[in-house]
Amino acid sequence: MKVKDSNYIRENKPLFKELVSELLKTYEYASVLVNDSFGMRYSVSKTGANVGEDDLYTAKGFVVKVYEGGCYAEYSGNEISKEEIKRILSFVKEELVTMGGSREKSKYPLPADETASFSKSTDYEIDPVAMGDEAIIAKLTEVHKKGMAYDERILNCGVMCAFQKYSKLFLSKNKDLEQNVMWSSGAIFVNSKRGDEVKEYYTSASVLGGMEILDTIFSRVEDASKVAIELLDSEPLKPGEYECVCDPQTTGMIVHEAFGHGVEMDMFVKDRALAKKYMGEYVASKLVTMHDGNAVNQTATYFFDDEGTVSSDTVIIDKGVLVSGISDLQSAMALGTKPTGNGRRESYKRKTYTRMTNTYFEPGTDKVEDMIASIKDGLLLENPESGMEDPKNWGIQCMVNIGREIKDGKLTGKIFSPIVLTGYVPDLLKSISMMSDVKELDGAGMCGKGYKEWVKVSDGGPYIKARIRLG
Amino acid sequence: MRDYSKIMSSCGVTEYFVTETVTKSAQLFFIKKKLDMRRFENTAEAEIRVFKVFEDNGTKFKGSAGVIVNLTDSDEEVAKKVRSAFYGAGFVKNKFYEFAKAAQSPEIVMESDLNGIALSEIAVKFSDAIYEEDCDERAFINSLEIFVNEKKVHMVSSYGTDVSYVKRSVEGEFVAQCKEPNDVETYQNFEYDSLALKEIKTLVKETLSMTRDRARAEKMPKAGDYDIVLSDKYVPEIFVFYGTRASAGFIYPGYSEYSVGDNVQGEEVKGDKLNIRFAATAPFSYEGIPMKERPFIEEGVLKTIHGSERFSYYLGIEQIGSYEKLVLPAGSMAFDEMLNRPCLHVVNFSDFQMDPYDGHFKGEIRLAYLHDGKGNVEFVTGGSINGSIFDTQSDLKLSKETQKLANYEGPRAILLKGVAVAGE
Repeated sequence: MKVKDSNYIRENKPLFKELVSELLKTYEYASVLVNDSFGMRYSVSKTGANVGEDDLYTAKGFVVKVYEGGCYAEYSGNEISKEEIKRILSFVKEELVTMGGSREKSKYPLPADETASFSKSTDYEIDPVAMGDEAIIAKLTEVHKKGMAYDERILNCGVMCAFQKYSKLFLSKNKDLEQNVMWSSGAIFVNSKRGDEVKEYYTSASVLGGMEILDTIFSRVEDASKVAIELLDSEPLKPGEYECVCDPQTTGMIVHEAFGHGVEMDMFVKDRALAKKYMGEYVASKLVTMHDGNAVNQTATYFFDDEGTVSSDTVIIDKGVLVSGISDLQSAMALGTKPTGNGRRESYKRKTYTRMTNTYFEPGTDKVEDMIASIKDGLLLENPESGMEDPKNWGIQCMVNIGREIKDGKLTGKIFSPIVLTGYVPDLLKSISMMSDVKELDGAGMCGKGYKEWVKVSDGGPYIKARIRLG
Repeated sequence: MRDYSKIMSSCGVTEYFVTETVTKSAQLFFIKKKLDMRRFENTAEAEIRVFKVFEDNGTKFKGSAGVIVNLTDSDEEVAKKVRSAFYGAGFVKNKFYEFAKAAQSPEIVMESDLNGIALSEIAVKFSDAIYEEDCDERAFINSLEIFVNEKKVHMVSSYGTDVSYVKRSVEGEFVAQCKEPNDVETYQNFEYDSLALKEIKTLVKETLSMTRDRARAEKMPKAGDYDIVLSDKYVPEIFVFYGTRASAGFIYPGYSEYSVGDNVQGEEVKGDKLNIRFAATAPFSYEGIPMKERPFIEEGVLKTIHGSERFSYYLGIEQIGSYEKLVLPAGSMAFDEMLNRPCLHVVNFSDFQMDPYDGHFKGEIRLAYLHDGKGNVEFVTGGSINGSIFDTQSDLKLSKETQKLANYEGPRAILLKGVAVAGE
C-alpha cells in the first residue's frame, strides 16, 4: 500500500504558494520546504513500557529560504496564515537578511531551479496506526518475555520499535514536489551482569515500510540473549594489529564513519576533507565499490532532498578508485558540481548539510566460512557500538562490542570486549582482501554531523576481511 | 496558555502533564571569515503526556503516552491526538506510582547578562570575539556555527503543577585548522548561559595552539599501560559514570547497586576522595520538580540518588528530579605536578566516551603530550586509550586548577593510573 499524503500540507498548500510568490517579488530566489511528520516510539523492558511520539520524528512546520546579497538566509516557523505571511515577509526583510551585521558574506550563484513537479509515495505492508498500540505493545512484550526467560543471568531484555511517516512539500518558482514516506525500525538490548560490570548486546533491523519489521526483531531474540551471556566471559584485548573479518554491521560502520563522512562535499567547501585531493586515485582495494543513495529501499530512501533536489544513486568508490563525493545544493554551487540529492535537515528547524543516506559496499564473491578459514590468528568483529568521523585526516575511531578469536582458521569461542578500532582509513580499505557474496543494510540508528543534526541513515555491506589496528 | 483541562475533560483524561516551549533562535554560520548563512527559528510546541490508572489481575498500573502538538493547532486537532494517546496509555503496564509534589511559581527569568540584548546582536558579539583571536595565518578558524537561543517553558499538570521559566543560552562549535607542517584540524564545541566573551576567546586561543601542536605531531604512542592525564572538557565525561550509576532509572533495573552510604570508589582509596554536588541548570526539571544544589558524593561516599519521579517512587526515595550538572571542589595536585611525572596527557580525542554500564572509558587520540618526567615532551597522535573506571577510581588525582563548563564546575585535570593504550 502507498503512504498517504498530509492533510496539513494539502490544506495549507495555497498559503505556502502565496508565501513563495510574495517572496519572489523581492528576492531572486525563494523556496519553502513544508514538513508534516509523525513518529512513534514503543519500548518494553523489565522496568515497564513507554509509548509516545518522538520529538525527533514528530514535527509540523516549514522553512523559508531566500537569496539575498549573494548568499542565503532561512526562517523556520510553524505558524501559517494570511496574517502570518505578512509578518514573515516583514521579518525576512527587516531582521533576517540583516543578521550578521557588516561582516563579509560568502558569494553563491542562483540555483538552476529546473522545472519539476511530482507527488510520490513509498510502500508499506502493515500500517502501524492500523495495527494499533495494543498489538504493537503485545508483540514487544512477547519478545521481552522470551529474552528474559532465556537464562537466569539475563538482567534485562529491552525491546523497542519506532516508525516515522513523513510528508514533505517543496515549492520554488519552478518546483512543486511532494513525497510521502514511511520507515520502521526495531531493536533488542539484552543486559547481563558480572560483578559491577553490566554487559550489553544490541541487535536491530529496519525497513522502508511499516510494522512488518516486528517479525524480524522477534526472530533475533534468542541469538541476542545467547551473545549477552557469552559476553560475561569476555576479556580485554591485547592492543595490536590483527587480521579481522568484519560482520556486515561493522562493515557498515567503517563505510559510514571512516569513509562516508569524508566524502560529504560541504566538507570540501570548507577544505575539511582529505578526499578532495584523492579524486581519481586508489583509496581502497580493487574489491571495493561503494554507493550512497536511493538504489536500495531502506530508512533513508526518499524522492527529493530538503532543498528540492531529486535523489539519486551515487557511486563513490568504483573498484577501489574514489570517483565522486555526495553533495547538497549549496555545496555543489560553491564547487561547480552537480548536486546529488544529499541536502538533509534534522528537521524544518535546522540548516541543511550534506548528509549520507543509504551507504554501503557492494558484495564480493567469497563465502564467510572461507574468510574465517583463511585467518591464522585474528578476530571476527561484530556488533558495532559507535564511531566518529575524521574527514580531515582519515583517522578511524570505531567501537565494537565483540571480537571473536580466530586461531588456525577456526573460531575458538573466546570473546574480547570492548574493542576500539583505530588507524588510517586508506590503510584499512586497501587491506581488504576478501568480501562475502551477500550484503546487509541496517538503518535503525541515527547519524549526527559532529555531535548534532541527527538524521536517519542506513549502512552496511558484506563481510570483509581486512588488517586493522585494535585496542 | 491553552485551556488544557477542558480538552482533557472532553477526552476523559483525568491525569496529564503539559510542557509548552516557545523557542526563538538566531543562528550564524561562517566558513573561514565569511558569513555563509543566516537563520532564525521561531517555533511554539507542546508535549502532552496523559496517564491512565487501571487494574489488571488485581495489580494496579499507571500507563502513560505522549504526543507533540503545535501551539497553533486547533483544540479539535489536539483532542484527536490526546484521545489516541489515552487509548495507548491503557496498554502500558507500568507499576503504579505517585507523582512528585506539584510546584507552583510565577515565571522565573533566569538571571543572565544575555537578557535584554537582541539574540542576533549576541550572535554578532560572540562571532566578533571569536574572530578577534583568529589572527595567525598558520592556525585559523576554518568554520564556525553560533546558536543563540531563548526558550520560554511553561509546565502545567492536572495535579497542580504550574511553573514557567525563561532561559537564554549560547551554543555552537568551531573547527580550527593548521596547514603546516601537516594539514590538521581540531573540533571544538561550546555552551554558555552568559555573555562569556572572555571565556570563548580563551577557548579559541587554546584550541588554535593545540591545533598548531597537532600539525607537528606525527608519531603514535607505543602500545602499553600509561598514567593518563585528561583535561578540560574530557574531565566531566569521567564523572558521567557516577551520575548515571546513581540514577534511580539505573538502580531500579539492577544495572547499578549503588545505595546511599556506599563507598563508590571502593573501600581503600589511595588517591583523591570524590566530593561532588548536584547543581541545577534550570529552575525546574522536565517533570516540574524544583531543582537546587544538593550533596551527591562526599569523601567518596554516596549521599543522594536522583532520577525521574517514577523510578524514585519505586525505590521509595525522595523525588528530587534528574540532575546533569556536577560541581566539584579543587583537587589535591597541581596540574603542572601531574605533568612533571611520566604520563600521557591526551588533549584531543576524535570522540571520548564513558560507558556507565561496563565502566570503560575509551577514545582515539588526536593529540597527546607524552611527558617523560624529565621535562621532555613529545607530541603524539593516533592510537587509542581503553581504560576501566573500576581499575582506576581508587587512585585518581584531581587538579588544584578548576574550570567552569555548562554542566560542570570543578578540577581542570584528572590523573588516571595504568590505562591501556593501543599504539605502535
